[in-house]
Amino acid sequence: VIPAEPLRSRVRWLFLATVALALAPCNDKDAFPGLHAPGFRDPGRLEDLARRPPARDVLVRVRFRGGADQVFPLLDLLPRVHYKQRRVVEGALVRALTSGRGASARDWLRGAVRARQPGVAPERIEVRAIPRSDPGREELLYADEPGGAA
Amino acid sequence: VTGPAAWRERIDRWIFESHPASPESLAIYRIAYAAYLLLIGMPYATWVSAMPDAVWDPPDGPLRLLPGFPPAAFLHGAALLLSVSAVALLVGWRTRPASLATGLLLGLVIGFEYCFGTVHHNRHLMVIVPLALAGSGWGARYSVDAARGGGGGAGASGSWALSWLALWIGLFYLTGGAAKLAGGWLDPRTHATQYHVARVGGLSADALPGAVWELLDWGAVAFEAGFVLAIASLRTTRIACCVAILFHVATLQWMRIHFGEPVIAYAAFVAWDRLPHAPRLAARAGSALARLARRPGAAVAVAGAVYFAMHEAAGSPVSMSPPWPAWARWLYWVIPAGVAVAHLAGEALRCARRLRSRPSQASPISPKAASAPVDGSGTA
Repeated sequence: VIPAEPLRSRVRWLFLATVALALAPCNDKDAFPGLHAPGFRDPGRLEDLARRPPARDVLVRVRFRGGADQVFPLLDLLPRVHYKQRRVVEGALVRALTSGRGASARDWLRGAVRARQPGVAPERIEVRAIPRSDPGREELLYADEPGGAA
Repeated sequence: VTGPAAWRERIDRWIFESHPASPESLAIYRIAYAAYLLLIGMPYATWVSAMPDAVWDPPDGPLRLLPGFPPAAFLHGAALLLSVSAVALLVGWRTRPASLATGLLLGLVIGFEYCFGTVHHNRHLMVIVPLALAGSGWGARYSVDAARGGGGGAGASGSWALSWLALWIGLFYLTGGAAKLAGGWLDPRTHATQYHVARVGGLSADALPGAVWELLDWGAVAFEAGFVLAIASLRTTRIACCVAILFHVATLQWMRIHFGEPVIAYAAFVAWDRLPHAPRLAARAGSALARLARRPGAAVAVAGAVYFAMHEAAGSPVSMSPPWPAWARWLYWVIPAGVAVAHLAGEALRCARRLRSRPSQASPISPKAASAPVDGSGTA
């Protein structure tokens, strides 16, 4: 049953506002409610596949004072992140650490590393990328010496 | 008649009459939605308060007004309120405010998870469902509100809530199709589907001829951009939802993308009251809820708080975290895919029968056939 005015007009405006919101110019690929998969706007050229950086694992190598180096995946340092967001958060952290403006990211990393071995101070923390296609080729992304100069 | 008044009337008919649903069906769906949210889909986003502000990169929207991640106390408070509102929705206590609170809090909590520079779109419809159906009257049956003699959010709004949800889903897909069009998805020199499938190893790049890859590109865009046209009636919306489920199964199989939550939104269009035993089970649950009716507020608050504490400690009862074994992922899809295939087969049979009977409709021998009523509701 079609309701009487003014409810009918209000509902009509609600529908119109919904259409306007969804089609607003600001609703870019990173805005609600479009589809936002990474690389979504990529035209899909197969040759791009070869140019993309290869899939990699990001490892954290830590030298604790008086102990041997320990290595663990950066993903293991993350809190309980939704599984679809784990790689996203990992990438954001690496970007922040390597950008030179990530003081809070550095502090977070130091805290996360200290939590792995409470009471033992880390001397040097390195973040390294290991390409899956070539595990022997490690790339140093970031280094920090909590006790001294990085 | 094609004047503005006729168009307005046509639009009004679509808004208010195209997607009818019984209060019983909506109420069973309310229980199913809230149960899914509590058992599987509840986000755990309090972790974001531990993240450094250097990675704060929210998408366009109100969260951009914030300077960084909120403190843990704020997120714990939001998660606690969300737990309570989800429990209230499950039992149908103050259903309309509970629906709005669930949608808004879910959007807020999930929104913080997407403040790292990338948005995953699979959970948006979970946010939209309670907001769209808050005014549908989905609390009018099998609920504490019903036991207390309240309407459970039912009003003069009629069925426009389901039409609104259908519009959201249509626009959700339309923006996806538009992004593909703008991004060169249909560039004839390239095959976007081939690229995405080959990238994750779903199929090798040369598994199909180029023309088939191109056809898949066009098919994806046609489906996504065309979904909004399919919401013209409940019957066509159901068909589009069934195709969407098979589309998701294909993306899981060949693109390794588990796109599960939208299926919960599609389920709003199922005629739940026609499923065997469902109304009887829901009525039994409703009479159990009636016992809550003396002090429902306290019971809902305690249950929500207990759920929140359990979720904080151990996550969702049926965790969505990896590694899900392959069989579990497929189990998730068995029921929706089975329903979709059965429904599409039923629609195809109905279509074939109609085509076969068309000559007899035109025949003056069987004038009744020509005036046979058209069942716009389709089958479940």
